[in-house]
Amino acid sequence: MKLFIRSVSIIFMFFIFRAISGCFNRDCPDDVYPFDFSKIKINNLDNSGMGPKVISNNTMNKAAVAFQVFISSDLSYLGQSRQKTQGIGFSEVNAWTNPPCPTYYASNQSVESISVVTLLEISSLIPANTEISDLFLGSDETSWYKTNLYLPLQKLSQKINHTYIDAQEVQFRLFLGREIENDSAQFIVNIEFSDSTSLSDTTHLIFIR
Amino acid sequence: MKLQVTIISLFFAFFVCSVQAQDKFISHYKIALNNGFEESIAQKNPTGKEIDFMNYLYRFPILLEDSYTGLSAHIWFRKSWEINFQTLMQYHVNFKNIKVSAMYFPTQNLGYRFGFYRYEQIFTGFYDFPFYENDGSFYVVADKKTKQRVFDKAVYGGIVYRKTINRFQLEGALNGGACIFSPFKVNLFLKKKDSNLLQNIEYQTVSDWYGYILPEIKAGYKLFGNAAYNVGMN
Repeated sequence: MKLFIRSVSIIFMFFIFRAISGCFNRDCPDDVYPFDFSKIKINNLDNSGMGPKVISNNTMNKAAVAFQVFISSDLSYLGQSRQKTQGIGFSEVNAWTNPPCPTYYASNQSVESISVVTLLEISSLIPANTEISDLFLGSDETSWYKTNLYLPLQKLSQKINHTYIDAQEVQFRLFLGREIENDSAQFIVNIEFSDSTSLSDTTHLIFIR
Repeated sequence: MKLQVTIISLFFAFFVCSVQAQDKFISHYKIALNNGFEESIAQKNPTGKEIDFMNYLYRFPILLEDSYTGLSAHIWFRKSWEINFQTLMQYHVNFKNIKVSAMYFPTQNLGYRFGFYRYEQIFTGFYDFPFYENDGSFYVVADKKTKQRVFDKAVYGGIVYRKTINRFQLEGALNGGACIFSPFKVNLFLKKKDSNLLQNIEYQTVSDWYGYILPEIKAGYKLFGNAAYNVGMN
């Protein structure tokens, strides 16, 4: 009887050890997958409230003109399956609460500059077809209110160059720091990359209220 | 900030005390595990144009799960000198809250003490203060749950009276010292309605030394022991 209890105790301790070690052993691949930015998409933002919201209509307040810009890749990688914890014994243990392994992506190009040209007159001092990059400020996904003010576009372009997790895309927001004195507005957003390529898109025609 | 705060701190401790030969450099030592609670009572000052952060001092709720745990060590040296080290931990094992003191007992019962401490204080809810005159055209963009942690750092001295009666040990002390808190910043963001305008208001506190008086009383009881060790509670 004593031998049976000791054997069961040893097996029980072994299971406990496996369970504990399973909580810590996360064997995630740390490969970084390269990609090229090849697509650009611009959404309208309503920034009249506390924070910017994506909208489907083309009407904005004259002092709250804002856009969301996505640049992304055409490539699609399959998600990396999480490697199971390997070990001796007769069971494999993984913590139920472990989140799935992240997949890392890095762009082959870095963003060199972001520029904006207005296609319509903004005021008597700013006619159509003027580059107005200095009038726009930006924010990336992590640096809007509560922690930071807007960034100049030059600083924004430096900040969005990093390794991306679970996505081959980056998004940022552009905010016009000037009231529009016209009843409509439209802009071209141009992004220059380090390999001399560029992506460009035109916003919808915006009606100013 | 004005000094109008009363901190009541109670703790219970189990200790193990060694008994060594009196001629050794370290005569004996005591290690204790504490558990207790602290209640901070701050007198609220009238609201003025400038914020008084003492009105937003976080009060530790008197609940067992919010109590603190601490470790302390006391060393008796051969020539009437003693050193005491205490740390308090509320949620995580750390040494943020520490108190170190040295004591000298020229007589058996009466001694002097000097030392320093560093205790964490928390301010919360201060975003409710009307930092600016809002005519309704701005949203206040701030996380109202934000807690601001600062540290009181103090040097102090005092007199200690200690009396042992059978298994009981009573100790009373009157400490006084000078304290300063670590300055901190508070950021408030204002977002204008119907506009991209975003403003940042930054408050920077100014800290200065202030004096304080802190009486202490401690009672201990020896549960059991032998020639080498004693076990008891404070």
